[in-house]
Amino acid sequence: MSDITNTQEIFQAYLLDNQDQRVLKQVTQPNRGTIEQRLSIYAKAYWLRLYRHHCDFYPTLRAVMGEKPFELLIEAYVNAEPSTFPSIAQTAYGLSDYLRQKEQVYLADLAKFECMLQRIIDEGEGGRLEPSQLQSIEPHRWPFLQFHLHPTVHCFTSAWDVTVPWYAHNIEGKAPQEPLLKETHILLWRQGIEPYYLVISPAECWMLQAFREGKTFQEVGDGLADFMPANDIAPFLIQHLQGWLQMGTFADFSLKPAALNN
Amino acid sequence: MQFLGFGLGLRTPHYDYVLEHQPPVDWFEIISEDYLGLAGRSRYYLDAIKEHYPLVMHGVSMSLGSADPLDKHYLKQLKALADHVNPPWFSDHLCWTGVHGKNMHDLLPLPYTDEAIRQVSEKVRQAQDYLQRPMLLENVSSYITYEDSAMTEWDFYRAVCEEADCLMLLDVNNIYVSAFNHDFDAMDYLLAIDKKRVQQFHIAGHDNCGNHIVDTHDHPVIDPVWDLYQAACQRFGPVSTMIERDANIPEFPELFAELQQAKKIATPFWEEVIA
Repeated sequence: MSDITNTQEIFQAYLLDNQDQRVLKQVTQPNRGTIEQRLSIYAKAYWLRLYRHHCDFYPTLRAVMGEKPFELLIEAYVNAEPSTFPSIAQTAYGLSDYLRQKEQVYLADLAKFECMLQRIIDEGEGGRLEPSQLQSIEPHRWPFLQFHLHPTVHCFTSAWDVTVPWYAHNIEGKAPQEPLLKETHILLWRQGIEPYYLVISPAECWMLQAFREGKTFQEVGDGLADFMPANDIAPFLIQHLQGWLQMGTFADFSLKPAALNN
Repeated sequence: MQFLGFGLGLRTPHYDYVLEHQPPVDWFEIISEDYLGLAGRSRYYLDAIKEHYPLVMHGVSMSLGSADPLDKHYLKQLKALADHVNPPWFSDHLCWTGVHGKNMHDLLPLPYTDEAIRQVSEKVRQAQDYLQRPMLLENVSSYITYEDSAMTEWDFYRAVCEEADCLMLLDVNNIYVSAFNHDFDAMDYLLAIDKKRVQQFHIAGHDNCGNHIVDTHDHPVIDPVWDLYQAACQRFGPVSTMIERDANIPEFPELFAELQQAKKIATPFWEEVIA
């Protein structure tokens, strides 16, 4: 092992676990203060930088949990999963999965919702499908159309209504309560540069997931039979397709290859 | 070498002000890692501001001094950003940020050794070759020195840049901070630096804790740093200058006023390039 590798392993071990004191032997005594004081500047900076970022990234989760429990959570998470990312922003993305592993399910769902809202601000780029692009599609090809969701569009199902504490904290400026146990389907997307969400029905959520999986217009219509009477399906499909096209939900469309010969 | 004039670090709280008022700043420096996804809100503002100002890219995660090899995925993202922004140069730090794939998100000091010179200079060459643009290497503030160090910081910095054949981003505040923390004369540092290699200056504020100074970028520039900047202006001639503020960020006009102070100090020495 080279000298530099050894030095860096020892230094990093100290930053990740302040109890690891091997680094003290690698560093010279400063003229003022102590080696421990100087090293602690790096240790404090490491922790504070990550903690402040998580505070900014998860304001609702922090408010729901309270200051001290949130700080302990972030400390445990940062210790368990040191960053491997170039950008500090990315270090926060794994918190929901961490909470789920710890069986803190409603906190995991709240973290996931808050994380998705943050991430769609700066992720996903590309054109939007305009309604006019569909005007030239011949009627007999419609059943074989596949609609591709825009990269900023996500659906998420939570066992708790995590939108209530988020709305209370971020829009109403009220103290958020723990979310209610109520299965909630949420559509998230970005329009322009602003993130949005909407609580949607199980049928709407299923439709969007079906489009994401590549199901055709016909297959989506068939699947909706699980959610509503047959007579309601066509108006439901058309109404939602129009609405979602206006919202910029789709990036583009294609024809299922088997239909190209029809 | 291209002289861009007097710039500021582009920070999120100032996006709308910059677009609305188009203040007479000569250029902006972006933190590369904030734009790597090239999407959404950050891309919207990047593109809008790029229409009006020259931009240079400043990175914090290349980890040139790490025992790890360069992160190819990161370099690929950085190149895509550089191809989009088309900056006259890009920069990163003479430091390491983590080892074995981890990132401590800090600019950690290196031992000043021949091994470190070889290691960093090789990576700078690789980065310059890959991005096909000049790279500037910045000196960092430090709070410790290693038992293994075999030379001064300025000899190390100079040797790395010569070996890599790269330019320097000389952070005047970092020289002041490290001089205080390690009891050397900041002028010795300035006088040892090769005039031909200095392409950009950083200036910033810091936090004096009595026994040591922490490079926090959360205060205005203090007078002794302005004095050092003045000496740098005299020694190096016209060098693109920018002020960094990363925390406790004031309203834009306050930073702009601070930038005018830099211009006022530099003007007597750089009259031939300052209108």
